[in-house]
Amino acid sequence: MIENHPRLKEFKYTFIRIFRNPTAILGFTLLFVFISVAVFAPYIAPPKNEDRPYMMPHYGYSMSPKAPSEKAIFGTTEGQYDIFYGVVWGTRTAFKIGIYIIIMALLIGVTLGTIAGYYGGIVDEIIMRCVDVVFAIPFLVLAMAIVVSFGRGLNVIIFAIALIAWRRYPRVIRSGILNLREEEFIQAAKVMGVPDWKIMIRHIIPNAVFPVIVIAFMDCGSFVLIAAFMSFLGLGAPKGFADWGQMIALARNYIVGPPEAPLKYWFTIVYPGGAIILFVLAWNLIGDAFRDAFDPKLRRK
Amino acid sequence: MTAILEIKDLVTNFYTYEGVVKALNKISLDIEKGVTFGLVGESGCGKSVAVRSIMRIIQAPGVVESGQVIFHSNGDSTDLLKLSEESMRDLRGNQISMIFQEPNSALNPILSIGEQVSESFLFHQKKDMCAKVLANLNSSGCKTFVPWKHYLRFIYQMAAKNDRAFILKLLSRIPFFKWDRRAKKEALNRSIDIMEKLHVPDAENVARNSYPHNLSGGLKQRIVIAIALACNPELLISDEATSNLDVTIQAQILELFKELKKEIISSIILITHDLGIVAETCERVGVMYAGNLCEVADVEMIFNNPKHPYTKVLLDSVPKISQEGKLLSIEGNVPNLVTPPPGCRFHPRCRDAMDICSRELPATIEIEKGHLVACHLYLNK
Amino acid sequence: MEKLLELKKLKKYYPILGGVLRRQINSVKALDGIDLTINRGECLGLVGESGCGKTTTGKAIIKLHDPTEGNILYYKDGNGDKKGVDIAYMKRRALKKKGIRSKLQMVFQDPTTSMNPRMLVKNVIAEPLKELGNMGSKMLQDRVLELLGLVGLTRDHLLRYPHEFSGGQRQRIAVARAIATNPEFIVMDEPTSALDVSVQAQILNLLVELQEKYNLTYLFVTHHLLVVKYISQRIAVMYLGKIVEVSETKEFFNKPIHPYTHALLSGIPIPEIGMKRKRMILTGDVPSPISPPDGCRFHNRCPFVEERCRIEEPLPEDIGNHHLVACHRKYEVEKLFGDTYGNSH
Repeated sequence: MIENHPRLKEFKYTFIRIFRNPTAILGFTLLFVFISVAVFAPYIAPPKNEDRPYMMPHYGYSMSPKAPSEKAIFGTTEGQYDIFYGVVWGTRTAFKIGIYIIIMALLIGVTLGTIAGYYGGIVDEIIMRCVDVVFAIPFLVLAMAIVVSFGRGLNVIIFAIALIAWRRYPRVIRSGILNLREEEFIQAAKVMGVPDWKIMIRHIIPNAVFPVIVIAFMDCGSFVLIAAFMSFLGLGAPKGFADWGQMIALARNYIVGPPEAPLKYWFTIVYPGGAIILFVLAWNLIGDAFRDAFDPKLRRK
Repeated sequence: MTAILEIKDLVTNFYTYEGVVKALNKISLDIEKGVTFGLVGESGCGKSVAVRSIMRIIQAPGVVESGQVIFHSNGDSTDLLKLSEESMRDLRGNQISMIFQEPNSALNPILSIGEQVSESFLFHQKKDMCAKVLANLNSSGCKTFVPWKHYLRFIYQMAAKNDRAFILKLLSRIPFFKWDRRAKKEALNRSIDIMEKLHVPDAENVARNSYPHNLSGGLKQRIVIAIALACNPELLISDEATSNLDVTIQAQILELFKELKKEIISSIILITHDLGIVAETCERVGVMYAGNLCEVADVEMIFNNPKHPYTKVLLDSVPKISQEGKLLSIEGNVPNLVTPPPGCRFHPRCRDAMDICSRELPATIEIEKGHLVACHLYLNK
Repeated sequence: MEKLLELKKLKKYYPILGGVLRRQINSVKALDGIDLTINRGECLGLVGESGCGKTTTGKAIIKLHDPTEGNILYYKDGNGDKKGVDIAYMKRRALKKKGIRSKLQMVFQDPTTSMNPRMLVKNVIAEPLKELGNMGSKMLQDRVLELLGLVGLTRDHLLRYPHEFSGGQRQRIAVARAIATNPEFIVMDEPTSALDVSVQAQILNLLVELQEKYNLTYLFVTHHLLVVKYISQRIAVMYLGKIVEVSETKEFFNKPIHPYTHALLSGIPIPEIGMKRKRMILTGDVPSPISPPDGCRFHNRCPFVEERCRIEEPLPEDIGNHHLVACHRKYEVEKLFGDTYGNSH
């Protein structure tokens, strides 16, 4: 009985579709690796100080980085912070940033877009013009302005990015809803006396939200990148916090080594930088796979 | 009567994600010259697939697997399925034309009506038109500037011989050497002629100044028919061409078909699901069910003396003007063609099903002159 | 006969906005003053060509939109209500509160789009019941099963998505949903035009059966005259936002009056052989409802037009036997038609 439940069948079908796509498999593998690293961080890199596991341990106070050794297998960066530890615990930070931002942005964006699209008229006009205003200001400038006014810190960065990141979603979901609004099943629901909010939640959002979710998946990576950039500028977490952006900031002076060995300090930039690239790539590939799997036109061909 | 089109054992499959859809299962059919042939059946029975296979315009997952489609024209017989794509393109719209259900998607919204109708002439009858322009140029009344006249005469002479020469195409794109304005004008004149013939009101104005969105549905369908008839095809295929139109407009178009049949085209294949249209416009009828041809006969025989159980039931299930009492309906649904029922595909819904029906596909036999039935009921006798 | 619904001078104009300031520059006159009475327990067929306003009428009655002008009187069952409630401008919430919402239902034309593709059949049918409230999940389940049984489906179909069904089965589900709340009146908006011939008969028979069983009243909107002939007791013809003729089905086919009705009747392809008739084929198209012609709206296509038709608009008048016609020459048409096209119908 259970295996014949239609929702399960539908899910299975989607699943099969996703996993017929090799790039999707790569994306999910990467994501799986990152998730495992994040989950098992305390075992992979046991924290020195149990109370503050996110603070990178440091072996001395010397400025110049030290090459990989047995003690620090990825080497140490400026201030002798352990790169391996930072990359491992930075995974958790990255997930935290990405997921919080996306959830907040989706909540704001989908709600506003649905209301605008469903009611139309003056409500639509007001909401969409507000979106235009947010769109008119450059992303980074606005985000930095918010961070500066609220004081630096990782949570402020998350909040600031989420406050701007929603701006794409109302447009996308609204265009879908404009088509949907005239559909007969919406009218049928009205005839049955279903109140507007229920129509929105039960009929409109499930049928219009998928394009937004796909975009959100793809955005997830880029928001992490933006957060890293703001950390790089020194607006983010306190010094020593396991955050990829900050690690790259610490490596800033060592990207090019001394003239006789320009690649001497490669490990300071390659490990955290590589982690960011792969993380963003993973979300993008998954977003792509979801788009293919959810697209009703590509489906059931 | 001689056949204009002979279809032999045509098989078309669609390779989809869910499996192979066996859309046409060995269809054999003769379309006689000078006959309006109605192909009826419910949606998904393969009537559209059949004509699309004939025209070789089956879309991507569909493949014409086997069979022959022999087209007889002026004593020549060609197998359309073996023709090269290029000669097929020459044939489409020229000797066999097709009209689709949705006139909106058949017309290009950014070209004027005249341009769209002319296109057909320019593609298929350019040589002929060039010859006519040449004759005009040679006539004494022509007052064109002399060097230009010489140039045009030279070009049109070439074009009348081979209208697809590279140099002609090239010259038609170079300013000051553009030569094809006269040919286009001639094509437009011919377009207006054909539109007038199809009773398009104010044809000249429509051709020059109207775009598809200016016209009503009925008028658009008339324009589509004009395009299809532009080159005097020997066979016109109408795929549900009137089913999106209103009753009064549909009546106009059907009347037009009857008129055209007398004057211009010799044979029409009319695909429809409306038995009323068949009764009123067709002379011969083929009834299709789930990829099989059940019964082919003259229209009177089909309506007054149907033989195949499906035809009988189909006729019983449409409301009639003399309807009294309840409508009979066919129980069940049209089968899924990925896994069609074995044997006769109609047997699960058939009132007269026998043992043999679920085992063997019935062969088509002629039970009286011109009345073909594929049913086990008549095979044993 | 007991009245159930009465439309009085019902108008629905859709504004056309234009210019930089999006001001109303014109309007589409979808309904332009309609008077129509629907009796309890009957099936009234509403026929006409596309764009004539027949669907707009249906949607106005079940309150999918507010009319621009006019009244819709609803006579509630049983309470000797002689005055009727005007529902034309009632808000959706008030409608629900007074229990009218569940009494007026609709079946849509295309069963593929009239159901949420992401909802199970169970939930599709249960949705109107949930809105009625006060129903436990067990009761709900039982009622859904009962409804499925009524329309000829079984328990196996409960846990499936709409796209897994054929067109006919989907329309059955839509019918089940419409009758779920025990309505008195259902608008059928071309319920069979998206279906195959053989399935159409099944649905029509189902509708007749349900009507007899529950004493339902239908407004059957369609362009297919033979279908209305089969299912309706009375037929109303619309042309360009006006009702031009209302009569009983038998009379409609035997003694049509309005020239437009004649045109419709001779336009239908009849699936019978040997019904040779003289056909009256109209020229031209339906004029735009943005600027309908003055006088009688049919005058520019009417073969029997006279000067008066161009100036003065004919009003619907009863010519006996509840046969309403809106035509200046209603007493002459029969003879005129016979003279021009031969006696045919």
